[in-house]
Amino acid sequence: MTELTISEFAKSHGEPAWLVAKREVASDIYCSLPLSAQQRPYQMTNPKLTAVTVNNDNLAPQHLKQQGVIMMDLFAAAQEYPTLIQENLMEKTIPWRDNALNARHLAYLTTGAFIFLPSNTICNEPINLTNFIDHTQLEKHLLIIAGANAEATFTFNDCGTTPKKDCLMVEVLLGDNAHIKYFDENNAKSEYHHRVLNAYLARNATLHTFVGLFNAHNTLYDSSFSLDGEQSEGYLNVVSLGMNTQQQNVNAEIINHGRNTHGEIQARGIVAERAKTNFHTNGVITKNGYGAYSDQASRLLTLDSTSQGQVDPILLIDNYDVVAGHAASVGKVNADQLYYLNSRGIPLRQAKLLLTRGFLLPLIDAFPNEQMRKQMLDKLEGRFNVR
Amino acid sequence: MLKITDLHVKIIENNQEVIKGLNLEIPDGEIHVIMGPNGTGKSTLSQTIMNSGKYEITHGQINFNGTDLAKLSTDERARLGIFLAMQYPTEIPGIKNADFIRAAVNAMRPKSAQPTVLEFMQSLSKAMDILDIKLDYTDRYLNEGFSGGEKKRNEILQMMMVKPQLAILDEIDSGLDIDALKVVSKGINTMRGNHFSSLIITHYDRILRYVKPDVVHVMMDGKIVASGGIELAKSLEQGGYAQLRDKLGLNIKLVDE
Repeated sequence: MTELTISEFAKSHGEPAWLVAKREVASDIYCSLPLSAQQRPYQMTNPKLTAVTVNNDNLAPQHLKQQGVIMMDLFAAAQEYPTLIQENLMEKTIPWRDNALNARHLAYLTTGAFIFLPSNTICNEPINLTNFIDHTQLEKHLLIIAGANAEATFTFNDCGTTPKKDCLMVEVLLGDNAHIKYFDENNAKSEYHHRVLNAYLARNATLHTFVGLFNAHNTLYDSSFSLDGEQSEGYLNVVSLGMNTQQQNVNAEIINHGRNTHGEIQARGIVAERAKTNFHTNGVITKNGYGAYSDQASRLLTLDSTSQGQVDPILLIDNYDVVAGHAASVGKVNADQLYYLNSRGIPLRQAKLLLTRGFLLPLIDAFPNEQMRKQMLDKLEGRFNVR
Repeated sequence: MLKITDLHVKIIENNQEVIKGLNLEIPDGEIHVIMGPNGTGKSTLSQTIMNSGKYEITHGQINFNGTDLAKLSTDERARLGIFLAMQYPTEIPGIKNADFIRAAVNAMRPKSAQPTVLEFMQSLSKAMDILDIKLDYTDRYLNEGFSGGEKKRNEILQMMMVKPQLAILDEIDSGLDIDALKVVSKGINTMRGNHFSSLIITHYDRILRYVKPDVVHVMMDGKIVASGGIELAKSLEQGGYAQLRDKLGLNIKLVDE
């Protein structure tokens, strides 16, 4: 296949002129944008662009299509719904100019999906977003917009990702009183995987995200919620498993802009075998955040002396009328618990596995479908080679 | 058979000797009781048999069915058939009670002899019935939020499921009301047989009204100072440890004197 330039690539599947122009600017300036030490390993060499086929159909299930739900290829959506995409794609939650990785992502974006729930749509069944994007591509994007009073649960699962480096960015925008749950099981196979989930919440909106970082390689997970509307609520949950020299960085942030907003971050991780996991959690309450609530709890369990963990809870508060707190711990397996299990004949390795499961279970149990829960527990058992 | 010869044990943390030349033999099929004032090393003895890691044997030997326990880890000792019902059972959130008991039952048996899930659940509910335990118990996290009595019952439930050859019951009767004490005793009595022996550590003779012991030992200052039948326990209840000490002519200071 012939290699294309960015504009040739964009034009080959009929992207609107504004998007082509934006991509070209992004490609010109990304080198001059900031790039942190943490982000550096996740830079990729520019991927070769070859023409992709774009499906212009609305792929939503029939009963949702009738309610006006749109689930389609992002590039097709850019032609069909130019205003929605132009206003929201990498503008509100993951601004493309923020850093070099974001700008490159936009410049070299090769697969994506657009999910739109019109106002008052209520989806009872969880919607699986896994098959809406091409997992073998390097730069992947999901743009989810939920209108006022919309309610839905989404699930996502990686499959067949590239062996080198890749990136998935997810943007979730919630209208007034929208309620969304997003369950994400990270199974990326790449050596360096970068994943971003940022969200914007309008009045009374609620967002719960759960992510399981069970992949076997280096991972950078960034997530930031902007609680903009009054009384919006964000719950950000991360479970991680770090083994066999892998490095994981988790940056989780909730910003309370609006009055009476409520944010909670929960992170739990296991590290073993020279692995290293860092949890950086950030609660920001701005000047207008009267009556805001901000809480974060990060716990890391280190299974042997070769593993490392760092928990870094930060609260930045610019208002006096708030409730905020944080809890953090990094520690070994509880010796009394281990002894109790051993005293029942359970060998050390299995006892540690049981305790590890027990440590993660409260968050894994929150996942809505049995298959995802089982997959995560299987993965934990499969990768657990601690003696 | 459990055979302890001239055992000396110290607390690793402060190097203090707690057990000072203890001899004890429990043949198969017998139930022995150890009574003694606070701070004489009764719990230390049970934790040393199980190898808790807080104590170190400085002299002597613990032998179970011909095997010297010295080099064996806690789980290896348990798999030989020794069970310790703890004085303060540990709470472990995240592990369901039934899952834990199943893991313990399976750990004691080769793969071919492990019960199926159904068989396990049936024998579990039978044992729970004997102990008067509510059904929701199995789905609760291990000992988490259990009352004192519930924890003790749970220890006995585990014993009944694991079916050890030797059960050491460390103050299984403390903190139990009369009904619970009867239930727990019933559980112990179901285990009686030629291949089951037990060492009951207690402060009071009340549990002996329901569980008839073969031998009663009195422990003071890290040693067994008297052994006898159930009448020994009764005389203790009347006269107290100080009287027995004076009768034996021992020069020991009791902790609570």
